[in-house]
Amino acid sequence: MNQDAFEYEFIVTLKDINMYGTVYFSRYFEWQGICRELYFTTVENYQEIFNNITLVTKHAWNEYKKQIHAFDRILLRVQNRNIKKSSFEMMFIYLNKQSGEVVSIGGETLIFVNNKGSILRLPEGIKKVITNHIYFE
Amino acid sequence: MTNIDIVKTIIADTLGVKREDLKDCSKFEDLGADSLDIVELVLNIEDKFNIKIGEEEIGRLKTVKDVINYLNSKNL
Repeated sequence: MNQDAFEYEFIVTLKDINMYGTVYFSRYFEWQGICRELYFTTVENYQEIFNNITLVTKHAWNEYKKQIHAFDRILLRVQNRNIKKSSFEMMFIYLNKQSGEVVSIGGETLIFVNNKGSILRLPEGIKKVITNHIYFE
Repeated sequence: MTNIDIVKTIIADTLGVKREDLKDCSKFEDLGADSLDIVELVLNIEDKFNIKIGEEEIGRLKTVKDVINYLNSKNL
């Protein structure tokens, strides 16, 4: 695994594409969600942390750069930017593993709230992990 | 630096506005701040003055002057 990013690899399958062979745009957000979930499992004591707080997506986006097709092998890399005291932006860089091309880039601004819905400081354990994987333009 | 100077600098940096555009009566909402920006602002003030601002008090901080008055009330 590359140390400057969390990586998740998957293969585009027939359930991801429509009758014209185009990947459904919403699938990218599902891949972001899966990858984000796996990324947080790398946080020390993540189950304990997430017992007391809720992750909230404030903003999400995805830019589609190149067409991908069924059975393409995709490497989804996660890095972070705009790390503030109470929020950060998780970046998702989709690479076609065969060609090495960036096929898509997405991002999510994430915050954590308590059971009253109040926005919290980023938990230390999470801050420790996300600052290891910084996104540079 | 006075508290007013410090607070205005924190507000300008956090909300991405020009410091010279900030007036004592400037409302954070009018400066384009959303709820997340307000929380970020409060956390920056907490760290700078080494204090903890309660959730109820956060709701009352709507202008630059509100923040100054709050700090004065804490003898800071």
